[in-house]
Amino acid sequence: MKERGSFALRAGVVVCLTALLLAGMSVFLQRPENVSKDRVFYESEDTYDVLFFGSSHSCLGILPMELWKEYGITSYNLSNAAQWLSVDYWFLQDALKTQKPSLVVLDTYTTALDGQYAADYGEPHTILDEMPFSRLKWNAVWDIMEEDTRLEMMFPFSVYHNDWDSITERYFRERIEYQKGAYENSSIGIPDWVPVQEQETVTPQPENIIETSNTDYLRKCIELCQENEIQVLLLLTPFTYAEGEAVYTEFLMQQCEDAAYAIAAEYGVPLLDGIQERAIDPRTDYYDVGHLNASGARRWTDYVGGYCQEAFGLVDHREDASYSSWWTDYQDYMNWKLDSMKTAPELYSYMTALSDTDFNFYVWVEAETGLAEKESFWDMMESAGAVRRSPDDSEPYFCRIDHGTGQVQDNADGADASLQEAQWRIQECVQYAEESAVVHIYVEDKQTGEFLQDMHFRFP
Amino acid sequence: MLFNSLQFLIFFPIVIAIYYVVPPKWRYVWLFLTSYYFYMCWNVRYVLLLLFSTVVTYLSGYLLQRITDTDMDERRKTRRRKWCVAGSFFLNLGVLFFFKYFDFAVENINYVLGRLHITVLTPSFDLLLPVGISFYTFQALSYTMDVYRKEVRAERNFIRYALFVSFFPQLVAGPIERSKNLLRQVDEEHRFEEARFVDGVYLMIWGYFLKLVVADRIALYVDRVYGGQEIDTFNGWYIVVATLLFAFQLYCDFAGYSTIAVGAAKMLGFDLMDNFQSPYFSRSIGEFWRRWHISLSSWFRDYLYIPLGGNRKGRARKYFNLLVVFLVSGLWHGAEWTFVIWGLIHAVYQIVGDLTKNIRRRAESALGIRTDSGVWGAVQTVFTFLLWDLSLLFFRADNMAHVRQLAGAVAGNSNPWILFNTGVSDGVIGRKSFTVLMVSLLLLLIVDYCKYKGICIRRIIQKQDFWFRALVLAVSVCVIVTIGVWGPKYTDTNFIYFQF
Repeated sequence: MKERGSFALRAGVVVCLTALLLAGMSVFLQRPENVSKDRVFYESEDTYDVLFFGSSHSCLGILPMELWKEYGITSYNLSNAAQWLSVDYWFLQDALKTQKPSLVVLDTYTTALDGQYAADYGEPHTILDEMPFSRLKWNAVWDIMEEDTRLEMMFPFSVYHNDWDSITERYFRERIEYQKGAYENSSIGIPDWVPVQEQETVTPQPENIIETSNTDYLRKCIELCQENEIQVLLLLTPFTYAEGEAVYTEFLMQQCEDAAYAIAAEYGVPLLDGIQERAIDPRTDYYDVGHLNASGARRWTDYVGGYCQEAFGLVDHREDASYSSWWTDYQDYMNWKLDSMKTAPELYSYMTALSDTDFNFYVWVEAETGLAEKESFWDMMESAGAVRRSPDDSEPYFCRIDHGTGQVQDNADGADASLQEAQWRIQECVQYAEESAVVHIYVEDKQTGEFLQDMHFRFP
Repeated sequence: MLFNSLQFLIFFPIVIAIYYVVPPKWRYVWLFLTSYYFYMCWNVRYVLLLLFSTVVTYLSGYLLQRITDTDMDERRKTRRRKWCVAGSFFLNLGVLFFFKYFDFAVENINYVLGRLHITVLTPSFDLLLPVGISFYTFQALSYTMDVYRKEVRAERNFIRYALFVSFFPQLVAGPIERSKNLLRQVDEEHRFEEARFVDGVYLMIWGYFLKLVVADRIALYVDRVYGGQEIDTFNGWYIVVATLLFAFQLYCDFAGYSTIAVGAAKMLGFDLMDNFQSPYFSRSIGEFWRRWHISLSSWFRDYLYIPLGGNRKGRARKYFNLLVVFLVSGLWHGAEWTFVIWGLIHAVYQIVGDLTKNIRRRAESALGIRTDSGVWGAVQTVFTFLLWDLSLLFFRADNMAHVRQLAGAVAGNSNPWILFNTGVSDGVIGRKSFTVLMVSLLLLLIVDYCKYKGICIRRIIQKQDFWFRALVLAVSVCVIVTIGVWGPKYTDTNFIYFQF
């Protein structure tokens, strides 16, 4: 058969076709959990007033959508688990290619860590794979990765191609876009699991700073922002330490505090220290020794937002019609919150939602459950604004947490008409609950009073 | 440098591109240089062994030719020629013995002396086995023999001869070429031929499929079951399934390498021999050995079995010769008693097969079995495969203690239900992975059956129009890259036959 075109041309067509197919597979097989985290960031240009950088502390502790709701600040959380300041530095450079934020917030926890990047290659993939292929990425990979892993970081398909056997519905679904980079953890650190009753703290001694590779990178980040005339805020997201903990020790906390205060003073930039500020409720707001849960994240975000608006004069965009898409995203975010609340594995995890000011909650505990002795339950209730009681065990306990009006009412001193009506409403739901469930929580929309969900639990 | 490494995927296109730019008469020099570079990627010092073997056989060939060409009395000539051959064999096999069998021999001598209550302190060398030493040694020795038998004339150009011994596509795991075939091609000028080049590409792709998709996926299964750490879970039928799969792993691993080698050589304009011809469709062990690792089997036939007398000196001598050949073949595969027993088993298969030939004929005729029927052929094929597979227990096991452990775990645990639920796959490599494996094996069997019947699928594809062929190539590469076992999650998996 006589072939048309030269061999080189035909070979070129085959090579291009193969490359196209491989590129398609590469995009398709990229892990959805990575894509959902930061792809939306790369799809937008000059959209955010504030960018957050940091490790899991700030990834779990800063909720951009809550910042929007409370202050109208547009922000994106570019933190990731095990993201060191060395990575922040390159990530920041990449972000500044398309964004011109008024403020960059840098979590300084990893100033206490030294050496080359974390050995577990899973984490750098989560962080770097969304960064578009560029000379900057090459420099980043060259700088922060060990020699034998550079190639796989530049061409992550060498890892992802194995994921063909774990293709699930997620690969075909629309990406999550409304969390703006944050992970919200709905679980609570149960006090008898993590020995956190009182937040432990230390006194900062900036003169004792221990220099690490990450203190250098923090300086570089600040200098980069200053060169670009961007305001900087240093952050220490609340964490604590406990005896017997391998990572979170008193020494580590001291090291973080010393470095953060020293470098803040060196460059004259403000520092918001969550360890000293006591902006959260340590009884209920930790997921584990080092990380905040949903309730803690909401409180800490609120605190950071208030500070930022005051100190940096950030504009409130909530009334601006050109930002209406943020409200659409917020609605998605609310729905997602409701969905994730449903997956709470037990009562106390669910109760971290009680402080969420988007919803009103009704809590009903049946009689003869020994409620007065349930310390964790009362910690959670108190944290959500209720009064700690020692109810008579022969009577059920009922409480309404109304974030719309800011009122928290219970039946300890009798129930008024509106409380009684609420009580009837929840009783209707109780009849469909499992027999063993003794704690019933009913959720309604704060604005409309519309029923949203009811959940039923045993005491853990 | 493994064929399935990134290094090779960069190396080979560069070699090809420059090869076709260099003037044809100098191309062999370029191939010689790249072949030595290819070998040095493993161990720079061991290239000296390759060079030693090359020099010794080159000189033996040169001397043999000189003796042949001089006027001398025939008896003296023959005696001198025999000395040349003996010298070449002694030096080459001496090196091979030292690097491959010395520790094994010492260990066994010590064991025997120990039983006699004699303590001997013998030096033990922790030697790294030079890659491919058994392959290139045999290839070089075949040259000595061929010149001795006057089947080829000695090569005068040392670089050309060195290229014959070190030609990189088949240097480390064969096919073990003969001077009659390869040396002649080294002397030829190779011009670019599109059809041959594309044929080589198809062969390489099929080789990569066999290696990355089939062999290495089976390896995940077999290594887990044979690993021994989970023998409490993976016993009984798990071991049976793993042993059945290992037959395909070994085949796809080795045939994969050979096919890549043949394909790469074809792209350079060389034709290497076909090392496997649908061995799992053989109807007897004898036929199997004519289809499996043909370059080695025929080497043993031509340079050991026939010189020993073959089947020309009576039945008893024939059986003895078979025994010698298969024991040596076992040892060639590795310095372990398991390999010796594996060779012995195959000798026994052949001898028993020959002894019972007449009885089987009579039984077939008494039972009215049509020996040319497809069903009877299938029965024989399956039986031959099972005999082969049984011997692989010794081939795969680390040592005799491992064989005993595995046999005990099969005999002591009956769990046939894993074949009827998803147990056979789920706990070992996962259901999806196992399904892909089964589909790949089915494809392999279809392709091999076509080959067995003389149908060449590559030719059929090449007759189609351009866009169809382009899609076949692109999709094949994409499938292999996506579902193949490679990348940072797995280390570059070595080819099994590299260790031999």
